[in-house]
Amino acid sequence: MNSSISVFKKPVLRNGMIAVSCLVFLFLLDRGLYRMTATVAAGFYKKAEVGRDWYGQTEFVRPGFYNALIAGTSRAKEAIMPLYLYKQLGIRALSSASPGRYPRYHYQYYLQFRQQNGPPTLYIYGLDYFTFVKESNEKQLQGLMGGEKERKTWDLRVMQNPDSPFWSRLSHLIRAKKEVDAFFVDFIDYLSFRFPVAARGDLTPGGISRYKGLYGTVPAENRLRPAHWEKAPYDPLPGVEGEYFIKLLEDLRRDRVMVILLIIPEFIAVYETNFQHERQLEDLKNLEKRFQNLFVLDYNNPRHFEIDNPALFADGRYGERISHLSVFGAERLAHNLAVDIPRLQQEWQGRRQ
Amino acid sequence: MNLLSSAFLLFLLITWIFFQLLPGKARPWVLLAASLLFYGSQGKIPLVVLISVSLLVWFAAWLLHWHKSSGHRFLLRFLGVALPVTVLVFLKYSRLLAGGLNSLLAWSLPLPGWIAPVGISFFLFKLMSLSIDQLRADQPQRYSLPQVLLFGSFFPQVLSGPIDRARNLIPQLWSGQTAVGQDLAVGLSRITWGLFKKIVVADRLALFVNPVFSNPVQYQGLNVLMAIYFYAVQIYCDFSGYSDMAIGLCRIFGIRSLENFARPYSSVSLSEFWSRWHITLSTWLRDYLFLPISYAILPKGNETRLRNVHSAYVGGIVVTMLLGGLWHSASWTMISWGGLHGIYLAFGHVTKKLRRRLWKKDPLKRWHHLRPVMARVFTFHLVALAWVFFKASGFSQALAVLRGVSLELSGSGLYHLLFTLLFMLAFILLAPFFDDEKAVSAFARQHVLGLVFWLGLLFMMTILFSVDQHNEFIYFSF
Repeated sequence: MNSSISVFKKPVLRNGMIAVSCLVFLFLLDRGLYRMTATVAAGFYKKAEVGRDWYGQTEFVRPGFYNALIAGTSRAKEAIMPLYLYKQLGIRALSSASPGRYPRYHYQYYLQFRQQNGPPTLYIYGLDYFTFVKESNEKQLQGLMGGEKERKTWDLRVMQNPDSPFWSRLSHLIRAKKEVDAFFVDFIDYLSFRFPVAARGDLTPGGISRYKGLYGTVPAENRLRPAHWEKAPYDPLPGVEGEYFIKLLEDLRRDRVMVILLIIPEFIAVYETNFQHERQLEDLKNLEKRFQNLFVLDYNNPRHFEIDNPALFADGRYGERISHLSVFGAERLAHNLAVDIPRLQQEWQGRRQ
Repeated sequence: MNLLSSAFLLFLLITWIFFQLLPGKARPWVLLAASLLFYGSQGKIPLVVLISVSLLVWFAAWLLHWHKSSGHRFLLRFLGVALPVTVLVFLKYSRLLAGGLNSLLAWSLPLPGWIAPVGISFFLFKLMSLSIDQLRADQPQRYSLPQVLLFGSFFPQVLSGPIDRARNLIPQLWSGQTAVGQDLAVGLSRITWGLFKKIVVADRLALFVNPVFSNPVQYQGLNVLMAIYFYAVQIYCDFSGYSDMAIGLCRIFGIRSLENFARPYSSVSLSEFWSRWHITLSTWLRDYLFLPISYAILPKGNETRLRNVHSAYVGGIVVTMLLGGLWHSASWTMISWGGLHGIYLAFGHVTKKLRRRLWKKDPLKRWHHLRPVMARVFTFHLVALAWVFFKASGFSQALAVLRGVSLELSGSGLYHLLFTLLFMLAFILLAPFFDDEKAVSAFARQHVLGLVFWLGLLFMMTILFSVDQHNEFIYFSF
């Protein structure tokens, strides 16, 4: 470009040519980049069998490495740390506890674990007050069970970008913006699944990651007892997925696996919200009578755990049904387990003989 | 109207065509009409404030030009400095002031519900600088009302700067010049680069940074450390991206705006950092706040005594930086951010000689060549530490973020971290071609087809990798 001449003083034809070539070039780039990205994404989705939730799948990296399984929801995930079990008792536990995972999920998970790894020697189920009320996350469940293999293909006819309706008519890249972003997210998730790196508190075949856990503590004001708050009744077995819970216990008995049903401590405010603990304990005691390999540990009890100590919990307040242990709470629980598990193991040996 | 909207693109195209086609004398009027239309699209009240303050500043400056009496000087001080400060405080801090007075004196003043108009600080700062320059000048310039109005409202700069000076901008705006080919090439390059920095780099980094800062106890180890580093880059790319776009917009009208950033993270000291970061605000603060405060502090009669000069500098810089923090937001975290920078600068100034002596006695002289690298790394870390307070919503959040820092690798989020690093790497690789005026000018001198190819590619890559959600520019809130 000649810097001394006004763009409008140059010959109109030349400027017009430049403008047209710019537009043609941008058009070609748009179509070319879209085609390239769509091809890469289609190849990725075909290979990676997307539609499955990668996090929901089991993959037991080295068969025989784990000799214990931990089940439950996020409360169990934060409370029962494989690392502590390994350090204190030499137990190599794999935790499948995570939000949205209830008896149906854990039953399917156990079947897959057993198929690939053989039965464990110890199974710890971290129980919540609401274990039998909720359903397992359908997406996670589908991922675990293989589900329908859905190949995600991009179809320009159905793609929409409501944020830029005008530009998405001109540019395929803008029209496919949401699909492109979803592809990036799927790709990152896939990498996390295929090449897992030890997450917080995990015990991995490659080594042990240092656990730091939740540092939060319950604010002091959450201890203030209001005059009124909504209380939560207990929903007994079988509840929504109780039949799978029983199936799981039956399979574990058949495989001669020692089972601990651990009632995870709740912060005092939550404990007083979930007011029918006796009914929950009664349900579990009945199971204990029915299954010889089953032991109940009730840590949600002021005699066994300092449930009024806010430092041991990360959250919870009056009127809420859920609270999680903090890192200090998880450590305290691990100390309890270090005493109780060997005692129960001895008892289990006695029963077997 | 938002800079990243289709409406703005159409508005820009129409303005530019009119600007180029009309004769020289009509061009400033095109810009004035477009600027008022653009700022008017932000709301009626902001436009009324802008026009009213411009009118009063012009009137006082006009009087002073004709007659330099002390009465006229006072009038310009009042209308050109005190009034904009009052307007700024009233619109930006009245809610905080009313709340403070209510809790302090048990009053029940109603809390105003308005939000300060976007860009108010920036145009008021410009108008104040014009007034103060007029007051300081031996021969005050004669500016017409449209000149002052266009200076304050010039649409590429009105929302977030650069805070240009009247002596640089007004002559260019009213010269009637048109954009030449090189202006267009440089302008479009800077706009594209600014867009890339904002909607690809800054917004991608924000996807990693925001969850960590909003819930720091859930993230530990390297993730937190990287979130702090990423935020330093995010805020740079966000704000300098906007500045690049604003400067590029000026340039396609043939106007050379003042630069706002000059690779600030390559600074070897904090004082150098502030000469490279938000340059137009830094120089504004230096000229109109720091120097007057320092002179006021300097004991009269002993102005040359070194100790007095040092204490004047320290006092001036700490107060200036605290006010700078307060300008960003009336919160303790922002005041801490400003205070930290004040302490950094004061400490750097006081220990300058001592540090020089220590380097001279340095037993590791053979490592002397590493000194600039170490200084850059150290300066970057000091700045990044201060950004934690800038970003955090409160002290507890800032401390939780700092407590969570370690080098421990956390499995969760590792691939997101690596993915985000790719964008930072892309930025680092492309920056030498675009990140300053000299480099862009060299880039823009290539053959037109090459220019179209590379800019088109950068633009399309920007669309491909941009984040599918709209994030406002960080500095729009100031």
